[in-house]
Amino acid sequence: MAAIPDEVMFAPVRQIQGFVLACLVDASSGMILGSLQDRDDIQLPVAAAGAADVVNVVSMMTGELAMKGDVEDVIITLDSHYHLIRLLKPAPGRQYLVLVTLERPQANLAMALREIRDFGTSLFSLNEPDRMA
Amino acid sequence: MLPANNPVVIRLGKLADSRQTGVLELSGDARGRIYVSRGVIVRADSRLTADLATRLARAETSARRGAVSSLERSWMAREATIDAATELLSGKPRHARFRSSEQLDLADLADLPVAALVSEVGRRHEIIQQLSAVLTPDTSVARSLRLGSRAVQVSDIQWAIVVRAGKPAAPRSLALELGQSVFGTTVEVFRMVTMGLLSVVDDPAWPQDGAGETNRTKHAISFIRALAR
Repeated sequence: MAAIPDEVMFAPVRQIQGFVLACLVDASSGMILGSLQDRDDIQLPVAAAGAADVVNVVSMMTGELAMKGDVEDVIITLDSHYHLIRLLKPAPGRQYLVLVTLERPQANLAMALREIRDFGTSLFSLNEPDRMA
Repeated sequence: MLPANNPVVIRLGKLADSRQTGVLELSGDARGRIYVSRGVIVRADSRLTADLATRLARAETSARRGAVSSLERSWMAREATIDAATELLSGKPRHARFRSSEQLDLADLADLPVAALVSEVGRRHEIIQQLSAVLTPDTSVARSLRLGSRAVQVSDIQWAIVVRAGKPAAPRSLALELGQSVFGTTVEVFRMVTMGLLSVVDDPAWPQDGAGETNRTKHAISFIRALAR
């Protein structure tokens, strides 16, 4: 079984205006499952670990608040960048997060969020199951 | 980061350098096997972690279409391998024997360079070290008997854990029962102890009469702190 190259897997998000980097992370373990970056000066493992830590804290907050509803996106706005985190839950017990970092002057936030959501929806249907139900 | 003198790491490095194919069999409490194909790690199994077949079977039971995408299968193969390797590379004394072979009869390969596996296992050991002030994969935990008047919202995996923790259970046994990663389950259990949903059971005679108090901890986990400096 051949793994999907990161360049192929992240092709839809790489087209987002202002794209800097993207990574897919296992939300439970913090392990990077795939990544792509256009700049070598950014420490992607730090970004991925930070995103996992952010999701952990936000999940704890929503858990303690018990206001019903799951975390969908976390948006971090900096002077020069956006860090957009989208949670993906393809099935009960399995949770991943995708982090996309964009150059803020070039990015359209609403469009980017839409495209990341579409990416998350299509990600697990890119590959047909090995057998049908 | 794993110590440079870890004998299993050294052995794997040599197998990678010489692009060997075969099985490295390891003895000890966490006995298991590491499968190498042309110097790349394609699978690892340990008696202390759930094997890939079990994980896939549980995942397919919960999958919406009754099957798991090939993308997730590749990730699960990688996680099963790293989860086992986290035990096998723990540094405890063990004997290692390598059996060379022409090819390996395996499906769902992890395809992990030795350096990548060692780096990820080192990261996980750092996180386990963070958790160790409160618990390890073999620490007994149980459902907190009283949450007071407050309500909490839990994820589906947290629910699956809490319903199984009516009696003392270790993260490892919960993981094996759920077909999940021992490492991931241990992290999740730690979070649940932080939230007061579970308590560490120090006393074998854990109270059965509902008198136990929640045992929240002030410790926190950080993936950023676990990165090698």
